[in-house]
Amino acid sequence: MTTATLKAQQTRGVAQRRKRYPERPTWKTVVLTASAYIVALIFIFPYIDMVITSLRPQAELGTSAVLPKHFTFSAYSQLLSSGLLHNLLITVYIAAGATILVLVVAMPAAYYAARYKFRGRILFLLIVLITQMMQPASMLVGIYRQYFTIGGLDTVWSLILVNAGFNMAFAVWILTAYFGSIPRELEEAAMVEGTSRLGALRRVTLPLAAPGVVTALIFTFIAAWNEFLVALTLTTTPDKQPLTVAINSFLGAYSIPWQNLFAASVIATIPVIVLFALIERKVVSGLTAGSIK
Amino acid sequence: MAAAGTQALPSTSRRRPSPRRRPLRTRLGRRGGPYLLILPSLLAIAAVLAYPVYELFKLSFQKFGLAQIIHESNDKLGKPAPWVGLANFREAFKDPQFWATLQRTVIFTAVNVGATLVLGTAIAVLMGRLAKPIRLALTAVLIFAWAMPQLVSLTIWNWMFDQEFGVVNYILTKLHFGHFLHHNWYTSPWQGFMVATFIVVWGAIPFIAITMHAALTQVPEELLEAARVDGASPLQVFRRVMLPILRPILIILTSLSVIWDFQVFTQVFVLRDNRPEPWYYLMSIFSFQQSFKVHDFGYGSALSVVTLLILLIVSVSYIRQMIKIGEAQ
Repeated sequence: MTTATLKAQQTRGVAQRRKRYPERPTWKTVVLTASAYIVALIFIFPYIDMVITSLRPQAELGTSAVLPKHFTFSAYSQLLSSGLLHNLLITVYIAAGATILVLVVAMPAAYYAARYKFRGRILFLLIVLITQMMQPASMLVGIYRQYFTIGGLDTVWSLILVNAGFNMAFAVWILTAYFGSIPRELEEAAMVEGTSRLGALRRVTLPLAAPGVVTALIFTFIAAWNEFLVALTLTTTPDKQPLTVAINSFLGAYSIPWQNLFAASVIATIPVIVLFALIERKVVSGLTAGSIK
Repeated sequence: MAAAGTQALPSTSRRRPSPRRRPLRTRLGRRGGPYLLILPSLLAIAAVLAYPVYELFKLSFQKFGLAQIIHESNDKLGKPAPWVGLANFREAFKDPQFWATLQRTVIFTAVNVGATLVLGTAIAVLMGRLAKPIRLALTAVLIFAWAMPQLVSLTIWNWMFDQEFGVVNYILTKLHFGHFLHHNWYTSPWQGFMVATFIVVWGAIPFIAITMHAALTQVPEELLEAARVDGASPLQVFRRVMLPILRPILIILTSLSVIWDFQVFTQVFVLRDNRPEPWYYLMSIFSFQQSFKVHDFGYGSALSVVTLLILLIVSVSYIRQMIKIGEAQ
């Protein structure tokens, strides 16, 4: 029993010595922590401003008070009765459609590229990488002409196609890395046990690659959800436009209904944050993996 | 024992795949059947990405203006698009507006990429020295900023830099930086681009900071320790040990930043209420305005083609790095 307490004391002593931050913080710690708070403030400030303004009554918009005297949800209820809800629905269609399309197209390709050394494999990955360079901003004319020719202006499906196309490269790339990291032997073992290749794929590989698949899907969903430029170019009628374009057309108005705008912004942001929080680590590790040995 | 034996038996008997299934699988495996798996993705790339690029190149060699647009809607009116060879490019190279825009875009890109990388890395280093709870809080905040839809953050910054209600003017005046009340940030392009740069960098830092932080944590501590024991100064440790290790990720982040910032469109376009003045043109905006406002699609496409070619040169370093990493894995 004495040895036990002695040991406990020893470990406590070790723990204390290991403690990196002494009772009185050094100047360095204070400066570091203070700068961390300043950085954090700069990055969170727009959020705070967005939420507060969306709750501020019209009459108090011009005041310099940090917090409004009264909070009102009228901007949100006005939003529900306005057409913006329809634009939100369009955004959901586009994001969901693009995500499904990317899933169907990118997964088989990534699986094959990860599992087989086929002729043209490097070329295929090269093409994928080059497409990753491409941004809609410098291709708008071409995109517009294409959908003009085939009658895809002002449609949801054209936006689904474009969003899927621009996000496929990342999906194929990250999925190839994930499939490649799953030992082929696992699949072979399952096949030895009598399942078919498809069965092995479904019962062994897919569950193991699930984090990668989810990452690729959420990434596509977020990118399509946030997309603005192509939608601005390809759509003209307000009830065919996604939420981002609808928000932008608010800005062009003579007198801007800021609260409604910010209420719409809050709604456009919430799903993205939730999804993003889920995958951020995967995106980062996907990028840094292998680059440092 | 017995149970184990009975379990082992069927599995051995199943070790040989049934003769019916085998030829099918080899056939699929050997005769390019699996190529069918990558075919859809290649088709998608061709249809959604390659075709617009083809259209872009085609238009850049044509004269395509209002007459051609009218002709498309009615065969009897207007004129079909004539091929004009390199005339659009020649026009661009003679156009002072083109050179001014290109120069503006290059400077804007350089400032943005530089500021993003320096500040992003500084925040990454800072993150590595914070106590855990503060670091986690900072990471969460950065993720919030990263996740915010570009158009939403633009709307908010637009509001904060607003002439009448803007909180930025209010804060700057309160902090005695001068008289900023009712200050219009966009009358001078320099100030307007400062606002745009601020917003672009603000939006780009989280990705760089979080990625750099992840990369920094992967640098083996023993290496740094060894260098310090050998008497290297902090600067030497950074230059001789950290930098070579971080080189690949730095190349990737720099090239990605250049590619993204060279194609900035939305920030400037929306800040100028969708009607940017010529002195606010970047290459992407110039091309957009020429095509959709002036209805000179040929010239607009030529501008886009020039942008794409410049980016292709930049992305060579990125692609080489990615292929190298891919081979190492």
